[in-house]
Amino acid sequence: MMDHCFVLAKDSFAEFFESLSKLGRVYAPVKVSDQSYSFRQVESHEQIAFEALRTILPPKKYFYPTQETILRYNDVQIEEHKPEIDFQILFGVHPCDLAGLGIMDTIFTAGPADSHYLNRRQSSLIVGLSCMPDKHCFCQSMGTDCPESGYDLFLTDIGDDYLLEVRTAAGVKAVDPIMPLLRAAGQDDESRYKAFWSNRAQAFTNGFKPDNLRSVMAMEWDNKIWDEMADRCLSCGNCTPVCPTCYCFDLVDIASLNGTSGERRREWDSCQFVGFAQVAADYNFRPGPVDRLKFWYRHKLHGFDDPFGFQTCVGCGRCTVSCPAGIDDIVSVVQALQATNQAKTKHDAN
Amino acid sequence: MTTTTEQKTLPCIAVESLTGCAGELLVILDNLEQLLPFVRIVSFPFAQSKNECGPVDITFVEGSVSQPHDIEKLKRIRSNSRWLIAIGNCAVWGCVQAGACSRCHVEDMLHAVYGDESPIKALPARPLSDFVHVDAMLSGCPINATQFLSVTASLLKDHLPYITHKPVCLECKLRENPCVLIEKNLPCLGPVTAAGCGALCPSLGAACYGCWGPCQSPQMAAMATILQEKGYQLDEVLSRLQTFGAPDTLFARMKPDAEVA
Amino acid sequence: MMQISTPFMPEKGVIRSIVPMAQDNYLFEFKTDTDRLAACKPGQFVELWVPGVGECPISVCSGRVTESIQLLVRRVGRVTNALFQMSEGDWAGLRGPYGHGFPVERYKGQNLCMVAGGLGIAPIRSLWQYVLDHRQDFGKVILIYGMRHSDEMLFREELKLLLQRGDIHVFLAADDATVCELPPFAMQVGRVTDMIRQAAIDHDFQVAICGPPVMYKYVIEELKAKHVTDQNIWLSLERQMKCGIGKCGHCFIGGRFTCQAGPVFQLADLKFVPELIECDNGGAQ
Repeated sequence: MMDHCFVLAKDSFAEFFESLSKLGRVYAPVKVSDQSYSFRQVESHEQIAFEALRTILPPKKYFYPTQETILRYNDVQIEEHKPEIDFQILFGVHPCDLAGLGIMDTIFTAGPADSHYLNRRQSSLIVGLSCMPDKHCFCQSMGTDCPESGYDLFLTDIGDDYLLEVRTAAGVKAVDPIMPLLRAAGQDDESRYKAFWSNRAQAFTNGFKPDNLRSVMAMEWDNKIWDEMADRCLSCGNCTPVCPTCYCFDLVDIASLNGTSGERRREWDSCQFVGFAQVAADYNFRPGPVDRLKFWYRHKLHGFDDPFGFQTCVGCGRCTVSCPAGIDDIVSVVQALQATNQAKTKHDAN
Repeated sequence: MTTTTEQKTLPCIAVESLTGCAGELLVILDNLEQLLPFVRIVSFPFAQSKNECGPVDITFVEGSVSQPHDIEKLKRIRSNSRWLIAIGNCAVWGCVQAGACSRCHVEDMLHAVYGDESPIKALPARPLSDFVHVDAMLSGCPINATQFLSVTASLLKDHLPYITHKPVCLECKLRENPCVLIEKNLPCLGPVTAAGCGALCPSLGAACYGCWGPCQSPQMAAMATILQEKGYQLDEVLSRLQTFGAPDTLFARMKPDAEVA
Repeated sequence: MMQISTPFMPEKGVIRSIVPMAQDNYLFEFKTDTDRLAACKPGQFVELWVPGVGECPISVCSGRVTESIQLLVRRVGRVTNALFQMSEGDWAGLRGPYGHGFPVERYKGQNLCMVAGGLGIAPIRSLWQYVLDHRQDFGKVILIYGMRHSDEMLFREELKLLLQRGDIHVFLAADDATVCELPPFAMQVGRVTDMIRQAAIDHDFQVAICGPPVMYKYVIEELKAKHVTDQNIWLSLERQMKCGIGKCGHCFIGGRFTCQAGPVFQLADLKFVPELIECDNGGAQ
């Protein structure tokens, strides 16, 4: 077995947390309102909301801050801004978010690599946590429901214990101080582990048949569903910062009053804003909400062509719950598109 | 202290006001120390008693045009200024006096306030750009100090300033606030309002009421539809959307039964 | 922990010369300390940065980059306005070169037609300079350049020299023309499409196109009428290439970043790309 599996009693979680917090700052989901959770710094394990499924912003914010200084300049030189990067521990990252980080890693690692993201990514420990889906989760449809990589440690809830998978060298190092608390997983533990994931797979109530999704997205580019949805679209851009794989940014200059120095900054941007695809002389390649909305949908569900060739939706359901207009119900949209597609095929056959 | 000769070489700026609450002026006053080493303030009637009316490099104008003499003053400012920058919602959109008051006749309002013999002449309030060419518009209620300083920094270099008009929702999401529109069904105008305030109201659990004026390309029709679905009446929604001076043209796409004032 | 360096670091490009071209277009020549930009290929672009203002993507305009690089800049936005305030000896930032340019190696041994509309002449110039420097490697060479008004003609002097050469056939068209310094037969009233009709182009030509978005569709139609295949038509697309390194997302089209997969694309490769207003693909799949 590639992963080293151990059993951590839930009663010992406090010690496990203590041990993690000795390595650096720990960030975990905490409850911020009746319905919302957010990754925040936690000092004690009691602050952690273990029941949290999706936080408002995904964990990408810890590697890719909402705004950051890239470089500073004055009249003679340009200097890269290299912030002090502290070691950070992200606790409670669910499978969809691990998949999301995997996609962000691919984009930011592709040459020329993005040092600002990667330097932070390399200076962190990711502790995954199993979850049970709610009515908005559809990671199973996107094939991101089972964690395969992207974590150092992963905890599966198997009743009174967690099954702790240690995936990386950093993970091995992190559990070393708490080895006395752990015991090697036995057959019974492995059965409980398998039962959990099997039950979880049955627990999804939301989803679609993903097989032909890329083709359907291509076929239905002119579907009137986009216009209907766009009539409701606020172009508020809420769907993009909350997406674990939305990486788009803007680069802006902030000049100082002295006229010689300043800095260049990167800020999260959204393809839903009207100026996103506008070029010099005000020519706009995506002037209307419909152009931007279906661009986003296509990017998520059809995704990249070469060289990456993957879809960029991980099925976390954040956009669905964050859209004030209720038009980011990806599952319903896909179901509608697939149905239209089937109807069309039937019609063509006749 | 700077010497007289040095003062002459510094760019000249002026801060003028028309009809407004002077909120912008207070922001500038608060940040004057940062500005002073780099500019000479030739006119700032709100803050200093000796004011010149010669040519200036940059004039910041706050307030809307609401009286006949505002127009004269504005035209004089324009002819004296290399850059004319509208600051604050009043100057950019006309603010409450243009929005909320647009449903009443000026004469009726004057009569209600001043009786039969009004000492003042009033016009329907309008933004500066309805009268003169404005080089850049920095909205706010009041303006954001950081944005103001950054705009000033660009202008001092003779560069067109960078001013975004992205919606409040962006700032709100980046602060990771629970959405009050979704979770509390509050009539939040974040999606159609220009950012810059740091999503102040939603961060405190209140709905955005649009005081910075519209964001770029606001989807007013969609906003109205969504608020109506939450149980708000159309006239109530429209009045909320128009309170801070969003011009009628932004409502052109609304349903025909919508009563656009 | 080993930290890697930022991909957003520009190098200083000192302005060596500024030559006013027609109207609001200036030709800037920059000299940099490193040879990072020396490897520029025709059709590639750089990110030009004016500190305190911002960056914008600019096509490389010179096909023989040695120790300096030429960029044709039109004053249209904040960055270009700021650049126009600079003088010789001042510096701006340059990053690049980025993207895939025109596939000159593939063009070798074949006939080549270059079609430029308006400011699209800038990247096309880098191509003709390269081609003429390696003239023996190519077959017939045609240059078609269209503009709205003859007053807008860029590289007037250079075009004059091209007209005198016997090894490149130059067609110049303007929607509207006034007195022109060029020999009258060289300048015609009309559009690039009219010139394509006149030119001796057939199926064995490679065609490189750059112009305003609205131009492509009509040019492609004309080329199809001349039996030029999708495999032989190459378009240089304009998008908001903000970062230049396939990260910021602004130039995304279909499933790719224009800044990396392009900006020069083979038409056959764009066949199934939605949103491609240049080719009127729309939803045609």
